[in-house]
Amino acid sequence: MKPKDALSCWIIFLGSAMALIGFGSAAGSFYIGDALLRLLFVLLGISLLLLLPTSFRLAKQKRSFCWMVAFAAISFALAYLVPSAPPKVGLRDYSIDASLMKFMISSLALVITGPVAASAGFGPLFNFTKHAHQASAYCFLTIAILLILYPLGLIISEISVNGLPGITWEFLTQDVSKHGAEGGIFPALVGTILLIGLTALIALPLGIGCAIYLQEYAKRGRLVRVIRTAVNILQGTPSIVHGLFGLAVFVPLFGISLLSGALIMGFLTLPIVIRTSEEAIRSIPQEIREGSYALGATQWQTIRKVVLPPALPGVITGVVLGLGRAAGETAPIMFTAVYFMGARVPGSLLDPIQALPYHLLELTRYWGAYPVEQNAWATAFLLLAIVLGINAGGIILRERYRQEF
Amino acid sequence: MENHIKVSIKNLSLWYGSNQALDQITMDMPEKKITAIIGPSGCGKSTLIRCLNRMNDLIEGCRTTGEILIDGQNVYDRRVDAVEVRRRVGMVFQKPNPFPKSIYENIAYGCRIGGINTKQRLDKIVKESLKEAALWDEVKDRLSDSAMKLSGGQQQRLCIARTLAIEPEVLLMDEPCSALDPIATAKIEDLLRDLKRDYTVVIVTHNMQQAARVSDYTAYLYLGKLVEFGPTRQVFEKPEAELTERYITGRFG
Ligand SMILES: Nc1ncnc2c1ncn2[C@@H]1O[C@H](COP(=O)(O)OP(=O)(O)O)[C@@H](O)[C@H]1O
Ligand SMILES: [Mg+2]
Repeated sequence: MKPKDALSCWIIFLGSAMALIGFGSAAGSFYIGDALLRLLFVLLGISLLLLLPTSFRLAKQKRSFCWMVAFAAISFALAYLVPSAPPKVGLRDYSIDASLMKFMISSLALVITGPVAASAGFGPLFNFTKHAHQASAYCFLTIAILLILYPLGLIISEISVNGLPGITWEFLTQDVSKHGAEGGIFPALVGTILLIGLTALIALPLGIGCAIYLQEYAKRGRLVRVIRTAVNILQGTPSIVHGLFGLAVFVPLFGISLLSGALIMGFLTLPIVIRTSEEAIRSIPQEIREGSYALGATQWQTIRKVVLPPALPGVITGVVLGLGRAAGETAPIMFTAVYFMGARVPGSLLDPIQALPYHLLELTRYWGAYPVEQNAWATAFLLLAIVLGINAGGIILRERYRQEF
Repeated sequence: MENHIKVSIKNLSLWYGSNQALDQITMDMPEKKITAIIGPSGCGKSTLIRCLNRMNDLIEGCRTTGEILIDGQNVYDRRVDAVEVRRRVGMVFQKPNPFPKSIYENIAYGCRIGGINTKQRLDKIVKESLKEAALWDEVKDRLSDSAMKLSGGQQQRLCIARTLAIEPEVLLMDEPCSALDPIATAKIEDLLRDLKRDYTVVIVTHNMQQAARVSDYTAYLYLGKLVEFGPTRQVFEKPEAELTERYITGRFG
């Protein structure tokens, strides 16, 4: 590898690593310290300056030369702007002071300058060897993956560490008491499970039916266009609007109840189910349908026995995506289905319920006023476990069907 | 022609929207013989063959005039159900299109939708159809495997077996060998000679040698018109139309 290639790779690596550090700092999980941060900025600046003669010599790349100067300057400037006292950031500290602001700005600057410096490193690479391209692209992509995995890992580990100790038999089986500071979440757990189940019962047949109609029976025409547009609008509607709609339409009919909540959740998940089912049905090749018709099958026989079975993995994925979303939603049910404390396990469809996401919302509202921290973390953990569990279940089901053929 | 006429096409014209694809086709196909349809691509071979089992009904904007009589009954008669026609006139497509199911289920499918459900009968039909399509020995130990795992030639024979399982009277084949290698092609040609004993076969091919080798009658189609139709030997040895001769001798164009 030529020295200039090595230098470019180094800049890309440094820039990406700094983006990663900036991301971590902005998320408030760690801070590498002022001295180190300054050092990184200075290193980045020097590296960019070192690349200057090369990019100057390549006459074609005047533009990359200018970028190089600019970013070197920015890097040195940032090295001086790094705050002197890093604040502690966490869920428990709400006050935003000047040092926190400074800190946020510098870490955001890292997130932005990192990748840009990295791509500036790419600029002069155009005339470089294949190996340099290969090495630096690999480095960049790896770090991009880490950047994506990092917040996910952070969320899961944070919630697990704090929530797992609160998951006890009592917590799972007892009623709420003392504003959630004591007791458990049994009614909320049951409520959420019932809500998801009923939502599936509503959204599944309707969604799949609608997808079949759109794909197999009415491929074009004005009606189809109207339905498609309606589905898109439904999908783009904020969930709070769904909630208000439910309050206006279903609550007068069914009261604040499991049924009202499930109907609204059904509307919320319907577009996802329709879209993904349509996608799955569309992917079945036309030749296979023709093969079925040529054997004297009717349209419905063809759909049921030839089109739907191989489309099923895709449909399942859609349903799971939809239900996973429904499980975590608060806004659609807060006016239509849930009580924080009063509701017990519902005896009928028309009884109000408790639900985990809403319970969590209420608990964080009492944060500080009552000792609810442990129960809140445990509730968050349980909710996360349910959502991940639904998704895992969907993946297992999908693979089971896919393996068959 | 001394044979009983199985399929009789009379003044058949077809339009895709405003685009005419077939123009006044009239021809008779004798029973238990192989009729080949040849012609340059885009001349309407597939369109013609798909009329025989009313597959064109599935295409939007497709309109036909004229008659197709099978055993004297017009398949385009308003009282005739296309689904019934397709059970009497089976079809094998250009690209092998097995269902993403097991080998067994691929063959049983046509019977199941026809109302045959007892395992005993299905087992028998599956075995017989696979034997008839010369595939039994290759797959008898793995009937429950996916049909997608078979080779292209095997898949095509499976599609033939699947069609034979519903016991059609007429067998339509639209370039059944065009996606296959020479060995698989030879196997299917052998098979065709056996099938002739029980079925009236109509085969589309763009392979002259194949038409000459397997067929009893040959129709030459050009730009949606029937240019020539007669016994294969006559069409190949002393064609009446100059167009046909040029096409057959490869001096086309
Ligand atoms: N589904 C369709 N819609 C509109 N036009 C079609 C369709 N199928 C075929 N055609 C047209 O009809 C003509 C005959 O096509 P086809 O029967 O497939 O020819 P061949 O099988 O002889 O190659 C072509 O000009 C083709 O463009
Ligand atoms: Mg064709």
